[in-house]
Amino acid sequence: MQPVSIELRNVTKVFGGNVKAVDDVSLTLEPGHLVTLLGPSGSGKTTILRAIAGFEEITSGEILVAGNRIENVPTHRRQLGMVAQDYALFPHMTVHDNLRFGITTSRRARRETARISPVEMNNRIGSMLELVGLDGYGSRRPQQLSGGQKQRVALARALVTEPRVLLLDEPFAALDKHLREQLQLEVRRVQQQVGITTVFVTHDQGEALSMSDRIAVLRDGKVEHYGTPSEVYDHPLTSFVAGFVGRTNILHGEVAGVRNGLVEVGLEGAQIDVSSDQSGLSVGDRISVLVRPEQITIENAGVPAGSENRILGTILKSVYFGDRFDVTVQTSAGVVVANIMRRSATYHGLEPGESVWIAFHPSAIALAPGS
Amino acid sequence: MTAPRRPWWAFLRTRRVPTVVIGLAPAVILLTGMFLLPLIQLVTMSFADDYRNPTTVFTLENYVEIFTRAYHLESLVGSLAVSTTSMAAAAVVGYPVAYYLVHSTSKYKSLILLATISPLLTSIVVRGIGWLILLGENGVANQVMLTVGIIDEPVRLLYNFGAVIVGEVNILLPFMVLSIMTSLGQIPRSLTDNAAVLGATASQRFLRITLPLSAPGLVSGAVLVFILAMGSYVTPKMLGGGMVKVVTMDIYSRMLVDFNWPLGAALAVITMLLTLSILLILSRVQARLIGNVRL
Repeated sequence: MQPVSIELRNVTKVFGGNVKAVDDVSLTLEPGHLVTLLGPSGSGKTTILRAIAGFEEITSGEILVAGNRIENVPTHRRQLGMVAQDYALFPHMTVHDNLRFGITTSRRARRETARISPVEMNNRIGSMLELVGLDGYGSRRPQQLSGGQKQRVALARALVTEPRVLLLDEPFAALDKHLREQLQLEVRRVQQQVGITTVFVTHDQGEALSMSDRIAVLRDGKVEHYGTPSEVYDHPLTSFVAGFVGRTNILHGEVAGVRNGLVEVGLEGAQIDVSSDQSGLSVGDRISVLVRPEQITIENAGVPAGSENRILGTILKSVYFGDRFDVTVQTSAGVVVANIMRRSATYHGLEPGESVWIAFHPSAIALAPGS
Repeated sequence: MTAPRRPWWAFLRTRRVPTVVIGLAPAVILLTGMFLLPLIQLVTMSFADDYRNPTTVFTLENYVEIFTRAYHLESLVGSLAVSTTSMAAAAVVGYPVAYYLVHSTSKYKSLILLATISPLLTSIVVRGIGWLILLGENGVANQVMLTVGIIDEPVRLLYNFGAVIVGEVNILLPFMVLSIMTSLGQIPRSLTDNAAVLGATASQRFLRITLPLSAPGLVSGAVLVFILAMGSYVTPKMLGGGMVKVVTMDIYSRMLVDFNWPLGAALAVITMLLTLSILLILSRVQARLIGNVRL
């Protein structure tokens, strides 16, 4: 099946008359892409997924799949596949019958009347189970499977109907860390192999970064940032995005000057340069400076100034994490956390009370409208 | 110096008597004394030959009598008919009510639940009288139908099989509804949602997901209704008016009118076996439907 696009146009969902769960959201999902709706609970990500599934009627706006509006198409005719958080396997059916259920009902929903022979049926189910690595589990009951196996069956059942869109509703939430990482890779592999447009809902930013083609970061029903994982991580559009996707230091300041591709920002007791092609900034604007902890290096206070931005500070604490130290530094511009890899030369002698420079490159910083 | 004397109840404190034994003791004693021993006596009595001296020789006479006399067979068949019909009617009437009560978000939900279980709050006799007033020759139902013009003269609504079923279902419906509700409430919404995603229509979702998964509640409700209907006496008597013969009346007459206790005991034993076999059949049906499923 040819991958299809999904488009949300000004989708709004109001609950109980005044609670806007989804607020004028417009997104375009390219065919074959895995797009993650990322956000904290209450951000509207699940509501959007449920609206695409047809479990929830939207208050206004349009949802298009392959260019056709689907708001008035009942769920069972939308040709979807879904993996729910609890997997929703039918407990009274074997794994084989769970898959078969989907094949027969979806064929009927598409008004396909050509008979499907038992041999073909078994082949389809068998090859799908093989794809998710559950060869020979057809006769098991869901209760006899582990969490990871249930998840694979749910994925197989979702895909065996050859849907146009795959919906993943926090499918890894109930799994332990190790299994979760393994299945993330596997779901991604299967998704790319099948080439199906996928909507993935999660509140786990790590999951979002490692699996997605695009990430939509949601907050209070609005899209704060829609972009590739590296765009969202390296150039977050807002301080909320920076804080939610990975950890970040947020420093508040004021624009002190703008000159070709470089913005000078005045912080409390320091001035820094930021590479930015952002237009519309003028001197005096309140602005947030976003710096990732791993972009910061720490230098001894005695070292002479280099080309990088530097702020003087005092080490508050230093926490050991095996591969790195998290060093908290009190500066005049605020408290800053830096990740110092153990391999790096500067990690020695980071004792609380020590006076140090924190340094970061102008291109390692993102700007967001100040608060 | 001698060791202090252990009190007689010291064994209760030793760890050798598991707490579960102590905990179960009252129930075991009560059930053995009040249920198991009388049951054994009942079965023994059903094989006695002389009803004036109900512990004599072993004989099958009473059972032969029951299976050769049309009267007894009629009462057994009557009971089975009343019970199975009540069971089926309660299931058909109760399922939609239970489904509504589980899934509705209406504010009248609790009111409807209260109305459903209200028959349990009054005595069977009072409810029987209520139905007599409603269904009598000059009762409310006939008056209404006459006024509206559906009928020209009063019809006979009482003292027939239908009246007994109406009365039984009225009394036993709460058991059915509550038991189906328990099962329905345990089916996760995500199952039917996912079935819809897979292309299942509303009726497919109901027939292939909801109904089979609510079978445990349906079956336990059916078992309760069947057992209670098999043992009912007042309702068939009041609303059947002698036109509907049931085995409880037969047992009552044999034991308290004829004083033929062995025959009454044999009837009771057969009733018990019939009930047990229905129970077995129903649990088989459930296993066939969904296997051994825990939600």
